[in-house]
Amino acid sequence: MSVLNRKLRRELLQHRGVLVSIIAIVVLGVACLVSMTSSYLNLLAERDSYYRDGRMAHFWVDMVRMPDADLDRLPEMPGIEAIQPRISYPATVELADVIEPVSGQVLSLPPPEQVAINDIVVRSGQRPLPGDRDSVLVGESFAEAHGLAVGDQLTLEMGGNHHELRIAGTAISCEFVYLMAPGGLLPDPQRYGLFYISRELAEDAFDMQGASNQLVGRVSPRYAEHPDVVVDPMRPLLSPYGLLSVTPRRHQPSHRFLEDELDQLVAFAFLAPVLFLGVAVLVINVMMTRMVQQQRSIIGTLKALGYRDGQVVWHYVKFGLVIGGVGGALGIVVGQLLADWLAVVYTAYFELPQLVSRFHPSLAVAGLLVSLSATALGSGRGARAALKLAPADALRASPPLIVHRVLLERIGWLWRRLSVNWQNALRNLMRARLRAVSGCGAAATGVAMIVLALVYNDSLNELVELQYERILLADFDLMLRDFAGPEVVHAAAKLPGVARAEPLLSIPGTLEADHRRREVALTGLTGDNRLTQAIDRDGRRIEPPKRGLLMPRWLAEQMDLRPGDTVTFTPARGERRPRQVTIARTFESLMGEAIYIHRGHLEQLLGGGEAVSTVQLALDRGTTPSEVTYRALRGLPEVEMIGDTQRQKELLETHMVGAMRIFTLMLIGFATVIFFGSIMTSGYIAIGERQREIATLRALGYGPWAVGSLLLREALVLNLAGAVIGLVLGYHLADASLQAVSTELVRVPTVLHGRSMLLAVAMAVLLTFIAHLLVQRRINRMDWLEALKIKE
Amino acid sequence: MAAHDRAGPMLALAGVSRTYRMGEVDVPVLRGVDLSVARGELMVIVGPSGSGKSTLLNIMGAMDRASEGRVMFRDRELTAMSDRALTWFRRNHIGFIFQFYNLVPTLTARENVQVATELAQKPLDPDEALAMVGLADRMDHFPGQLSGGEQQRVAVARAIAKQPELLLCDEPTGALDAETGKAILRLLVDINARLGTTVVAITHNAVIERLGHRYLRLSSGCIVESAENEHRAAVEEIDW
Ligand SMILES: Nc1ncnc2c1ncn2[C@@H]1O[C@H](COP(=O)(O)OP(=O)(O)O)[C@@H](O)[C@H]1O
Ligand SMILES: [Mg+2]
Repeated sequence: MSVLNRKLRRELLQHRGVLVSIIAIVVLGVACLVSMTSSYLNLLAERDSYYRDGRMAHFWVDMVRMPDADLDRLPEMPGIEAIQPRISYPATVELADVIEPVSGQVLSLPPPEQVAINDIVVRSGQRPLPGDRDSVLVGESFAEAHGLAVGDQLTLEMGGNHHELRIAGTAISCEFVYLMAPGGLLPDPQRYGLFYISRELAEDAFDMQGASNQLVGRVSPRYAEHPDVVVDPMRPLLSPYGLLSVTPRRHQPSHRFLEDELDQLVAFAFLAPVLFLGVAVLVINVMMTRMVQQQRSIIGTLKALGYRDGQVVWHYVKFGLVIGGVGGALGIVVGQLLADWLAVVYTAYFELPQLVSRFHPSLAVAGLLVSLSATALGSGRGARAALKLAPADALRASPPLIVHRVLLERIGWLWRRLSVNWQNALRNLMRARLRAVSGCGAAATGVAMIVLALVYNDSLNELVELQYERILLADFDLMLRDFAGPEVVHAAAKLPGVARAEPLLSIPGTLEADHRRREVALTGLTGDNRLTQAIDRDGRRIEPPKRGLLMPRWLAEQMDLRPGDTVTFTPARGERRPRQVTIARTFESLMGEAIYIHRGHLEQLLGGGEAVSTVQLALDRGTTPSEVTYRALRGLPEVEMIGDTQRQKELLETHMVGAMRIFTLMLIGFATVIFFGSIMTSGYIAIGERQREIATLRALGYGPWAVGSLLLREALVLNLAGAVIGLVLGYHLADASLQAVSTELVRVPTVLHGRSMLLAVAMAVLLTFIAHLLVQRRINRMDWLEALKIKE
Repeated sequence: MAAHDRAGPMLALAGVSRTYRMGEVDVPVLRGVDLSVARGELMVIVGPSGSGKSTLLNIMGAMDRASEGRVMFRDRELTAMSDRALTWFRRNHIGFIFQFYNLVPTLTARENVQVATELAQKPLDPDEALAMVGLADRMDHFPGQLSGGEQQRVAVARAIAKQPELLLCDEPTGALDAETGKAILRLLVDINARLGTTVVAITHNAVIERLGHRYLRLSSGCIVESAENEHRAAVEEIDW
């Protein structure tokens, strides 16, 4: 090892406190980069192979009924590779010992000789054979949630009849990686499952002999991204069969959730390293600038001895590279462990055949390169001063500090009010400007991270609050199999425990305007509806206009519509005939894509007559549904599916609370690392630089804590200034990321409560104090008598 | 004076001036200095503080550039060379000794010498160099564990380990008490005599001029006197 490397090694050891704290920042940056990118690659690879092996559909077509013989008679459509028919219906499920309403989706299995689209993966047992009318293949998560095994019994209520079935096996499917009940926000395997039955049983149960109500199809690779191009020409051919909707893959819920998750991973894989490594660059820059100043005469000597400028700068850049190398290597290890953990988390979240966390060598190389370049940049900028230093100048004592009055001193009345110690702190800050800027920047980043977590907490709480306290006031939504009259509502109102029952008319259909087409649902309300209301982002109630549509603004914009425009609505239930409707007004919706309309107007569109599609129930205030209520609800013959709002809220809360707790703790941990790194670096540097001043103060009779308080003052000023910037930065960061994660279905409002702001600032102060204790320790241990003897 | 061989100048300065720009005005520090250093001689330059000694020495050692005039090292014109070439020149021909030793505090005595030997083409063994300055038993000590005089010896060892042709010393005894200072001077005289290394030492301490074959007096950037010592004093004879 060359002697200069020996010098490097000893000086690194000498500064190990600072180094450890800077390395920690680098480790976090690289770990985030590696873990997020690795998770992204793992998830993407798993999804792609799952989609490929299962031949994931490119589009789904829902119809009322199409004879299978007619499908063969459809003309060959260019670009479409395969279309397969199946029967798909909702069903309610009865399980021994389960009183809550349980439902699911029933699908018919394709004939075994067919190369199936959306092929399932059997995880246990086997598929029901063709003609088997007594067996069912159950979704794996549902089976696990209920402890069901091959051979167990369950009852499916299909088409109004109870079918007692034996579980033949369990399975997963690439089209239900993320399975949600219609209208749900989260998977709930306790309450919603997937059921595959033989084609013959499905035909009998739903009265679909020789016919199907759903097509799944694949297109040739060049149309894979835009199946609409080849599917749209089929619409006229399918409309005689009661075409209800065409869903391209990008709108398919399971696919969309996976896609959103992948997008977020990419965003965080970029943002987190930028933040962490940005702070690392600042801190290393400060450290190196200081080191080069301190080693002026050594640099001069090296140059006098004949070392080239490049050799000298390289020596100092190596400090950064060691930090980058160690931080990068540790970051890769930590990142890989995090990725392994995330794979476990995702396995609980998404139903995939086998999500494995692989080691990606190229990612490790990238992580190391990014970390080395960031730290080389930080140290290179600091070491640049060594380059500029002419050898003769480097050997002269550094020019005396010319003491200018700092800006603040000119504001006399303010300045005079400050104590000498505060004046001193402020002067020092203004003079070491680079250090002040970097300390401030680090504090701002740290506080921004805390604020980010707090905004997420506040915003999601606000969302849940608005959603469940202002918008979804019903405890249960009873979705009826067919339209019913008002008597269903009266009957429901008399059920035990029910305080209020309201009719709702919700009609799915297609909205068309100038060839822009979208599957929507119109919700018919009157002024009497209390349990469902149109509520805007500020929590205000909006009455549906007497005529015309009340539409979420984003939806109107997406379809390029304005109030006053006329659109064509083709209902998917009842009489499926196109009708003209005008847009009466738009509003800022919070959640969901419901379009509201006056119930009278909607009934008129459907051809007159009072109609109810859903009955909404509110229980007696403050009660939870009793077994009696559940039994009563399940006893209603007209009900196809029961939506349980309280359950949804519970799910959302437990899921959110858990996820947010981890997220918040993680960000606070990150902020701590950043605060420590920054405060320790600048504290240690200040001690080194002002040894003589500190020693003199000690000689004058200042105790170590009094000396420390001088440095603490500076740290407090910097970190409070940084905290203010961090509040703004964090809010905007959170706002931008919430906008980014806001899907069309869920718009998350950006909320930061006053007490959260206080909390963030309080944490900044607290972290400053804690980090300062480490600096204080060094002051306590300083041999100030020795320092007094040092000649400068 | 047997080792003292005067076959042509090793270093020659002709009309060298150096000005520093201070804001709007040019401050002259050296004004038309002419001098030549013969191979193998020991030359002392004396002058009061601020007279431009260090500036002159830095120019002689290719550390700094003259504003005007020519500097020749044998047949090579330093004033015409690139920074890179100057660095190369320093590396191969010059040894420096500074007032404040300028040792790397995190390296041992031996390692401080190695900082120089690792660069040189035909260096002395660091241990040998340290033995020559009488530090054979302190080689693994860090500068903080050595006295000022010992530190300056390490610096001398570092300078001579490169086997330079020209050894430049800037106030080599400036930070030392008289006894320790004299020990360093003895070393320098010895190196000049035994190794034949050409030595130029600058000092504000006029008594030291008696040790040189020749001395120059510098005042306000001009050489005001140049003389040969008919009888060089031995280190023991001088005192301050
Ligand atoms: N880099 C510089 N910029 C401006 N003035 C300088 C610089 N270096 C030296 N000087 C000035 O030049 C004069 C001579 O300096 P120096 O050569 O160090 O003298 P000496 O070594 O004899 O004490 C002094 O007045 C000093 O202030
Ligand atoms: Mg000087």
